[in-house]
Amino acid sequence: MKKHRNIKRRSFLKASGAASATALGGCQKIKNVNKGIHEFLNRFEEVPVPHGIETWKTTTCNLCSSSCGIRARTIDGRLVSIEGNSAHPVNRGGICPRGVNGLHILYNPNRLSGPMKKTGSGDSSKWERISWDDAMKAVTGNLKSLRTQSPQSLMFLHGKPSTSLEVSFADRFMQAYGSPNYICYMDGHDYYDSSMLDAIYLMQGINAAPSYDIGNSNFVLSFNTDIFESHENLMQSLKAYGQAHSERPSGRCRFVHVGPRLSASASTADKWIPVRPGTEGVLALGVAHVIIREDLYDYNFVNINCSGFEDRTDESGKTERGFKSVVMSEYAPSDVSNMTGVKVEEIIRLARDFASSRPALAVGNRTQTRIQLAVHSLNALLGSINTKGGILFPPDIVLKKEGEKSSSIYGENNTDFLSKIISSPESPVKALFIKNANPIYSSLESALWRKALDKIPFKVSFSGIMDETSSLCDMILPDCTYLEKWNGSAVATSEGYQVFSISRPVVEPVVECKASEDVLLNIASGLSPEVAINFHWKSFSDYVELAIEGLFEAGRGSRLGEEFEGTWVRLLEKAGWRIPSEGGLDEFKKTIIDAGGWWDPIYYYGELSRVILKPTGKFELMPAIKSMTNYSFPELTETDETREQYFALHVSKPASLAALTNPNSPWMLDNITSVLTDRWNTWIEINEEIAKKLGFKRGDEVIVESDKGKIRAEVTPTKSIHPEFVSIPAGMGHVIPGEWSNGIGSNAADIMSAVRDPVTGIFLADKTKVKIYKA
Amino acid sequence: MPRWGMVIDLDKCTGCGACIIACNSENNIGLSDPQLFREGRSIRWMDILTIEEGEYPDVKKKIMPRPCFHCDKPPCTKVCPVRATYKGDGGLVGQIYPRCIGCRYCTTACPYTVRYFDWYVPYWPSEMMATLNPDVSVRPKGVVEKCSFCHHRWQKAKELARSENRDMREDDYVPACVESCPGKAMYFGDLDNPQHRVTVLSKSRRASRLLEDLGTEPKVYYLLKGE
Repeated sequence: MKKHRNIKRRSFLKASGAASATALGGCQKIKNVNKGIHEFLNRFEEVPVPHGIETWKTTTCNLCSSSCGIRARTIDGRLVSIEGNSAHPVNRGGICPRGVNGLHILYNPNRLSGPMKKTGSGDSSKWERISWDDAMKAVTGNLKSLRTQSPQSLMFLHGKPSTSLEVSFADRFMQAYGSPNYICYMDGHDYYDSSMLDAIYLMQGINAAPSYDIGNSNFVLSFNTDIFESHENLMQSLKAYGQAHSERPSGRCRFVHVGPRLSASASTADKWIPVRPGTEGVLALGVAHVIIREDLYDYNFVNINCSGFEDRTDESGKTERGFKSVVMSEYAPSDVSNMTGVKVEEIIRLARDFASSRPALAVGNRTQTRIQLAVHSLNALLGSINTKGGILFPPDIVLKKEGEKSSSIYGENNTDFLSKIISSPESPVKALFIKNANPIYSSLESALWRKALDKIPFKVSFSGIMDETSSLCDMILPDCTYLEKWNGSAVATSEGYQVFSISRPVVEPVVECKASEDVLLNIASGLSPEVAINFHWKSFSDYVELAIEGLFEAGRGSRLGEEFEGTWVRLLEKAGWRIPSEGGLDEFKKTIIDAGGWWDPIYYYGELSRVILKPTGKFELMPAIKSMTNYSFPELTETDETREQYFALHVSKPASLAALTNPNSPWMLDNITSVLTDRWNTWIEINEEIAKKLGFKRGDEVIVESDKGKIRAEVTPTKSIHPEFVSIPAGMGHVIPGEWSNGIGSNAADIMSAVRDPVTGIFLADKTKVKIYKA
Repeated sequence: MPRWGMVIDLDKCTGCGACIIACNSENNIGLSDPQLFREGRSIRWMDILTIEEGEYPDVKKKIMPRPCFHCDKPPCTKVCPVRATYKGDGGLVGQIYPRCIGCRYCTTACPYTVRYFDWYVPYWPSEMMATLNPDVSVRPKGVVEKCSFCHHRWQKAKELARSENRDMREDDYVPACVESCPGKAMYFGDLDNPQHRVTVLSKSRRASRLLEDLGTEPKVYYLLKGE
């Protein structure tokens, strides 16, 4: 892989050997020698660096849903660095490691040079490079004939659901085409992130992604949330953590992490409380018990805005026990201590600290919905719903989209279509578009995906590189990276402010790629007039400009700016004014694009009628209790001889690999995590004592086996993990050759059991049992 | 002449590693690979040290970003037989690559192990050569390299100030790691300026330096976790 050139330096030293020896004699001589060395040097520069004219452009990072503002530095048209945009309210000048790595995504040696077409079938199939004209003709022709027969048999699988315009544009295409099968798909390791949304929906009836106002909080209690690694809005939590610590006028925020593993987030916390795997929810209710017993809860919020707290008697005289009496009778600290393994004093101290340092925030993001419900009930007990330093629900930004309605099926909870495709004699899906998704690699049901893809006659991938899924497709139309195309995304900061962040091309396309939106636009105009009329733009950038028009018409907010500008806008808006700096629509567009986006630095706290949409108008506490009945702990066999062999499996999502569909980058693989020194391989963290018992040493190769399969890993004994628990990182083990990712580590999805939550249908992350033995 | 120094607030640091990647990108640091990693020869001007303390369940992990400390009394410069490393303007410890003979006395003398020897010619696939920063030369095989506090950024800031006919403002010059930090946990500035944030913070009661008793007087201060 590596090509080291022969050393030339040695011969250089030989040549100047005599001179060097005398050089040690005195300073004057050193000066003379230096002169000689410098003359020599030009000839021996091994890697020359080209120079040129420097320019800076603002744009938006698209590598996760945070949508941070970035500044791209180009030298003669080549991108040399990516820095944070200090005027962008999401990141305020900072940038996460993934953001800088955009350079390696843009210039990745494994990017496809242009559209590819598969010829032949089965093992004898070959990829052939074709021109864009031929590719467009083939796809348009195929879709045209399909549309006359059955338009609904076109499916669009769009990975990494986000609020960006590319999602609504693809949705628009599918509507115009006449197919309802637009599916926003989450990759295997992202599944359990949606459990928080489900919990909030069950308790508040609102279907919205929350913002955690960590920066203004006084106490953050995290229930196994890897908030500084795999959180959807990583950059925001990193920034907010900095704001909440040291030199904040209102004092320092305390941060406690509950969970079986001392992750990077837990090591950042002031305290790590190890619990038995899967019992975080029980601990949350134990904390609730102490809060209620010691009268530390928010009396007003619970009495006025919550239902299900007290016992309820219906008309027939039947009494239903409320949250309070269930928690008081069943979650006494001593019982909770038995179940979780946390000391009684610790639970009581935690509850007192948590409840007395308001505004306080309980965060749970990656575990099961039932745990989330218990965790979210703590937010209600402390009245942290839509308050400063609590959990916020920013409203959506109104963007102009010309009468679109969202018809998307969010497919993360429902992959029934797979079994339908497999079981029917002829696949109901005749053509498939895949974008930003690699289910063959990352789905927990990759075998089903493989079978289903086999049956679909025409599959088109928009992947920029050859990955596991696109290698099974019939055609690849490589999409441009976010640094080469237009996009816009509506996000909210952790303080709840709405931001519309704009991406624009900062370099000329490095390969012959085409923005997938422009491809869709092209296809649409070639299909038929009634489809084309919905796509009357020249390119996708016009669609982005249309969205900006919506912001202009909304008549609030302003271009992205420094903090003091935000304060100024806030003051004006509160008084009913608006900065009239932008002359007309055209000037508005230009300023917004140059600044990198638009924001509205005002958030209305309270507004409970907006964020609690239950028919009763109240926050429902009962789901937290109901979900805990029939609670089963991870079924580890309790007998001594077998307990040493079975472990609950935890799959960590290191920040460097979390949002990448293919971690083909030396920077990321060399810095997977900062809490361990393991790199360039899949490791398995085992408690030191247990590892000793099993006879494992650091660096031993082991096989990790579940009922689904087995993978190889390298042992890392550590003190920082619960003895019943082992942890491996996700994101490695790709089988498609990449310059760096090839043959590195193993794929965690290969051993994760695909067990679904019976209620919500999402995958349960902690239901995999593994045994470990030497390879 | 300023005396450049850095303050790293461990209370704000989450160990995300942005500083490492920003440094790699800024300073044209050769790409690592599994072989280099196994041999312990990957180069990281900026690194994160992790220390596991205590026994389960009372375990703590300390995370410390570690650049070159640019000591006021650097042990590395004293052992260099060819004066390839020196303490220069602004108190920065510099390295003259063309002069270095690769004897590695300095890597041994540095108690913080922040000096790296180039065992191989750094390698980039031809596509990635585009990302090289023209402000920083690529080191040849056989020399020692180290963090420069992004010295080239100081040069640029000075020149920019001169072209605009003004004095250089102190915050015009910030190394890449400090600039990238998402939690704003790092500060950079003149330790001789009593008004500057770094000077104030370096005198805080939370401030300490690594291996202070060696008398190297590092110019990177850590603010320990806590109130």
